[in-house]
Amino acid sequence: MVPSTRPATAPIEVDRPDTDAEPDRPWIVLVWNDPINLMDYVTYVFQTLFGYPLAKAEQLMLDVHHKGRAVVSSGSREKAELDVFRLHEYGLWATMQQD
Amino acid sequence: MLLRRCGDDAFELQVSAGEAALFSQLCNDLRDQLTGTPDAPHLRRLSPTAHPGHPDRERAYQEMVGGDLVDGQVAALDTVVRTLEQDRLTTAELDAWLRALNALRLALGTALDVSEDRLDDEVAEEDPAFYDHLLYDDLSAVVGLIVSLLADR
Repeated sequence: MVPSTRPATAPIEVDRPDTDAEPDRPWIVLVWNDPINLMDYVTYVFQTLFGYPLAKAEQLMLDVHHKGRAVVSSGSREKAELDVFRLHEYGLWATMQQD
Repeated sequence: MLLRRCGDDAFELQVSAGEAALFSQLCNDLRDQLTGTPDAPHLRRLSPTAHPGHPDRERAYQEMVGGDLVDGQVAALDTVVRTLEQDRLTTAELDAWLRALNALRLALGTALDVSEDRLDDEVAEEDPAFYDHLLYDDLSAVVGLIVSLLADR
């Protein structure tokens, strides 16, 4: 597995008024099915960005394909935004929400 | 087009003059569109939403990263154009090719409104989009090849 060689861009702190976010609930990152991204490509991206072994990456890809979406990572808001950004860099349809 | 691994961090590349001209045009066109008409409908998959249903969160997210996403997309497209006449690519360059060619697929696929059932539907040669569909299939084949090369350790 070749790690992504693009340097990860850490989100900077900004003042973000957000009255409905609960500070203690973790955030999850979802990848949604789409008719364009190839299955092998999606698997490769999961392996590359998250270090998942092939079996886990393939299962997540199949969940996306058959169930319409899959949770691919979780954590703090900042971590989730970074993961979403990195997935967007590879053209995947990723969103984030509180768990 | 020939693309194969020839070392730990080296991939042999052979691109015909016609292929180089095509890739160069496609990448430069998408580059111009991303920087000139970013809100064009066929580019919507290249600027996805992170916080659907939460406009304030989305606005803050886009203020934070929006420019970086386009910069990265442009950099990948520029890498393809810059390296087209090289006979070797590094892993980093090949990864840029992967992201750039997939971006081309996303834009073209959106314009063609491709569906999950697309492989079951033949496009008639008389269809005005026939050659665009061929191009989409060719780009898909190259993306698949690059994935197989990068995933193979």
